[in-house]
Formats: sequence, C-alpha cells, structure tokens
Amino acid sequence: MRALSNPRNPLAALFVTVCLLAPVLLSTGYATPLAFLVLGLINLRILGGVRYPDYFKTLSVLSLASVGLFVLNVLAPAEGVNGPARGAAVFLRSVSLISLSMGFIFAVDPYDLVRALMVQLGLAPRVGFALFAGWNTIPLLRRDLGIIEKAQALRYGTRRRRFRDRTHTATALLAGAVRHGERVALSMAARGADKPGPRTFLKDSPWTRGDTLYCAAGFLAAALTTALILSLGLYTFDLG
Amino acid sequence: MPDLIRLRSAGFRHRGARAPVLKDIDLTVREGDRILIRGPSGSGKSTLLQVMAGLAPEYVPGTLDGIVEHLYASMGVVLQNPEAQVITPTVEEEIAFSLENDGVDARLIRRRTAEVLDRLGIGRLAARHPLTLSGGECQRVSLAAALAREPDILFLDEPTAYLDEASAAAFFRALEDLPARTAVVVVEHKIEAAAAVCARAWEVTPEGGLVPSDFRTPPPPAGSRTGKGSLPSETEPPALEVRGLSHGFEGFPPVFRRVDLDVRPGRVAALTGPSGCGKTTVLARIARILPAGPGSIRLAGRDALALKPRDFHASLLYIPQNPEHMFVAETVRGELGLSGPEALESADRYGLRNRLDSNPYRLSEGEKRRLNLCVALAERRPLYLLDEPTYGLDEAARESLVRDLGALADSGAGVLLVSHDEGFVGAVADTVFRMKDGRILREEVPRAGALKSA
Repeated sequence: MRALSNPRNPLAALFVTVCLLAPVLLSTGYATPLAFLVLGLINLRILGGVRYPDYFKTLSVLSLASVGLFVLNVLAPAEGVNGPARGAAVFLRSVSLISLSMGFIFAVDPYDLVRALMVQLGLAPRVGFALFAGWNTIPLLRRDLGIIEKAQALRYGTRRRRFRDRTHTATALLAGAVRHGERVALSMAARGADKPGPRTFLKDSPWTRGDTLYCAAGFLAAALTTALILSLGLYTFDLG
Repeated sequence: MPDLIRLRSAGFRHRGARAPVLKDIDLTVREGDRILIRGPSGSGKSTLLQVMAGLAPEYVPGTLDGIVEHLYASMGVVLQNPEAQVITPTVEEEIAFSLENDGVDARLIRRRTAEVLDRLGIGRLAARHPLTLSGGECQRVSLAAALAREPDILFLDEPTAYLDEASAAAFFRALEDLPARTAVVVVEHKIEAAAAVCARAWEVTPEGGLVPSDFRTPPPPAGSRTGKGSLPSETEPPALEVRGLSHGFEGFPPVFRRVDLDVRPGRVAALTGPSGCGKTTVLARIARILPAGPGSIRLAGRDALALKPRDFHASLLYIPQNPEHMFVAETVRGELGLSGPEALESADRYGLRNRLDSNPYRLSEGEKRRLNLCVALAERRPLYLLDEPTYGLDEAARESLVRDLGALADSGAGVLLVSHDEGFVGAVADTVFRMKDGRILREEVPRAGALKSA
C-alpha cells in the first residue's frame, strides 16, 4: 500500500486532507460530501503516486459499512425522519470521509510522514524511529501469527481446543513482539539513537514553496466550495 | 597499543535475578585486539558484550559492579537476529542511521555509505527494504551499518547464528579487511569461522567468571546418533512423500520448482541449503501454514490436502524455529500435562524436573527446546517437522538434541528437519536433501556421523 512517490511534503498533504475533511464532517447534506469527494479525487491526482486499482478496490470494500448505514436508516429510521433521504446523506458522508482519509493513506508513504514530522515539527527521533520499527514489525507479526496458529493447532492434535486455549496464540504473539521490541531498542541504542546533540538526515523532508502554494490552493478550494454550497442553500447540518 | 576497555572485578546481575550472571571479570581490550568470547548457552556472553558496549545497565536492566572503563571514541554493534536490527525502510538509510545520530553532514554520510556498500559488495541492495533481503544479506547490511561509523571497536554478538555456512564464512571474510587498529570482540558458537578473525579467546564459565580459552584445538567428537532402531518395512508407505512441489510469492520468481522428497518411518531427513533458498517454505507448505499450490503431499500414503483438519492435525507435529510458538500453558507442568503422563515422567530425563512450576517463557533457550522435545516424544505422531532446531544452542545442547532426535526416530516416527548447521545434520540425518537454485538433490548419509563443531 506504500505510495510510489509524490513530490509534496507529507505534512502539506495532511493539511490539505484535513481542509477537505472538515466541511464533510460538519455537513449532513448531499452536496457537500459529493463536492468534496470530487475535490479529494482531484487532490489525489495532484499528489500522484496512487495505485488507483488498489485504491478503488479498498474503497469499495470499506464502503460496505456505508451501505450498512444506509440500510439501517431505511429499515429503522428515527421518529419523524425520512429514512431513505437520511440514509442517502449518511451514505454519501461516510463514503466521502472514507475516500478522503484513504486517499491520504494511499498517497503518502508512512515512513515519509514520520520523517517529515521529525524534520519539520521536531518529533523526537527516538519516537520517530520507533514508529519506523513498529511499522516494520507488522509483516513479521503477520508471518508469526500464521506459524503460531498452525503450530498450536497441530500441538493439540485431535484434542478439543477450547476458546480459552486459543488465547495462547495471542500470548505467544505478544511475547514475540515484546522480545522483538527489546532487541530493536537495543539495536537503536547501540547505534546512538539516544545520543544528545544535533542529528542530521540522509533523506531530508524539505518544505518547499510548492508545498506552501499547494496548501494555500487546497485551503482556498475547500473554503470557496463551502462558500458556494452555502450561498446556493445546499448546506445542511442536522443532528436530529 | 592504547586500551579501549578495562574491566576490573566487574560483575552484572539482571534485574529480578537471584544470582549475578557475571562476576569478578578482569579484561582489557586494546586497539587492534581480535577476541572471541565463548561459553555455554545462557552463561552470560551476550551480557558481557553488552557491558563492554556500554548498553548494560543503561538499556539492559540490572546492577553493574566493579570498574568498567570505556575508553573508545566510537563503536559498532552487530546483533544476532538480522530482522531485529532493521529500523529504516532502505538499506542506504539503515547504514546511514548511526552517522545521522552522530550528526555527520549528509554529503559525508552519502560518501561513507557508498564506500561501505562497495566494500562489502552490496551496492546493488542500496534501495531495497532490508526486510526483503535474505538473512545473509541482511546481516551484511548490519555489519555495513556498524562499519560506516569507522569504529574503534566492533562488537559482534553471534552475528552468524541465523546464517548458513557459506554466508557465515562470507561474513567473517568481510572482517579481514578491517583496519589493523580496529578491535573486534565476537561472541560466537561457530568457532572455526570466528577463528579466521580472532587471535585469542576467553570463555565465560557457567559460574559467570572469565577464563582464557584455547579455541584452536578442535573439540573431541561426541554426540553421534548411533542407534537406528528397527528399520521400517520397505512396503510401509513413507511418513511423508512430496512430489512436484512448487512455490512462488506474488511478484517474485518461484522460490522452488518441482521439489520431490520423502521421509520413511524411523528415519531422520534433513533439508539444507543456503539462506533464503526456500527450506522453511517447504515446511510451511507441508504444515499448511501456506496455502496449497502445485504439487502433492502424502502423509503415510494419504493425500494431505484431502485430509480433514482433525486427521491432518493427528498426522504430524510441527516444531517451529521459535520454541515459544508452541507454548499453550502457563507452566512447564501444564505444557507436559497436555501431552499426558509420559511427558511429565520424561521431565527428569530432560532436566526439567526443577522447572515444572516455571513459566515456559522464562526457561533458557536450551530448556525451551528440550520442553518441546519432551512434548514431541510423548505425542507419538507419525511425522515431525522441525525448523532450525539448533538456533541458540551451544555444543552440549546440540549433542543432546542429536540423541533426542535419534530417540524420536527410533520410536518409529519420520523426522524432517530444516537446518543450515552442517555438523548437526551430518550427525543426525539418514538422508540429506540439498536445495539450491530452486531444485533439490538427495544424499544418503552413512550412519557413522559424529557431531562436528559448528
């Protein structure tokens, strides 16, 4: 799911994504989520590096939750509420929020984001690199989980395995994760991760004028779209 | 030659431990020294290394006694498990990591990184994620990361434990080009490989002391598997029969193609080959850890894919590389009890009688493996699969394992083990299947093998 590459600073991409998410979060109408869904796709195009088949595949799977919300509103509407209408609004809102959030995840490499947080916002390198190491651990844990499940299933053989017995899979996985964490921490310490004084970065995460312009454009696009929807009387916010 | 480390009456006790793991250690390491530290599993070799590297007690909780002077300006450390040292997403950044922490200018980092990549012949890996590399490649990256700092002293904690013999030899060859002034302290079970680099050796005794050791004298042969038990009838179907097994991961070339192998009841077969050749993947396919693919697997003459889960689970036992992955109880007694009274009775023979009420996760590496073997012997399955059973074991524990696997085979079971420990394989296996370039070669071993030093 790692992004191929994109020229924008990950923090700029985060800022614009938040600008696009905020109006959708504050709206329960049809126009706002639709408009920002389109803006989100344009933003993805600008950011580049997104594998669209994977993106739409994941979006369609996660959107099943939105379908569920729609059905729930149709089948069991609140009193005095037009169920299908509310269901459609909720569906659009949740699809839009999922699409915008996923767009950021697909467009920005998590390593680049953490690196930008360290370089631009002063996140402690110890914390930043611990996040790197944590991200690296995910595939190792996935592999270990498969091995533990099978080794323990074979260990039980034909004996009945109660639910409580299955918790030992989690114990073994957790024990492995803790040990891995200890070793990584030792490796980081041995390589001077806690050394006081200034630190340099081989791969910098510079904030360019292009990033500033991109942020300004993103903010303006979000603000103008919201203003347009408001002026047309299409903005709705209804908690009822 | 100036001193780099001075230990005087040094001792170390881990937090929560009753007795110190190290005591009264006197040792001086000078510029250019090449020292091997050896000793039985759990004797405190790694702890001694951590004390010398200044990691204990700051990062390894415990109490340090005596005088410890670190007189070096810079050091490099390579640990046992290559995976556990990976922090960054590319090899280039991995090597640069310690230089970045030292605040070295990015241009100089780039130059030094390129130099060390070139020196170790791994320049082509610069942009790869370290976790996509083989164990041998990954450990060379760890060495490169340590060398990039141009250290006064290099600490190597069993750096070849996860490597096959060729990769281990290549790892130590890379150390031969070190500047003469660089001191090296190695903790290693593979004495012959380390002897190429080290000039003198010290042994950590089981009591926690340190004594000079003569590592150039080969140990006497011991631990051979002598008994063969009753030979199986030729008409009896093999415990395991694999035909035309192929496997590949999406987006990568096939790991292996059309692999054939069989294990007869009462026999031990070993699957060997260089790191990353697919040995563990073969086991994973047989044990159904990986989804089914091309090829057939028969267990005692029955198609493994057609077996119901219950029948499949009764047909074999899989002992993974990490012994903890098999643990299903809070105590050793609970672990053994699950496999019946026979397992509990065998606790004495395997030196676990005093640990029955201990949590299995708190056992030493050798004890954990012995516990799994106790369980395996009591389970009486027709087939046993073992993945790298000698990791973390010293010579005495390996010798004991040879005997135990012999007992397992003598009980009539078939055993298939994956190992890159050639000395161990020579001592225990009746048949060796060697994997190379995705293919497999069969070799019968006359049963006169004795355990060679790793």
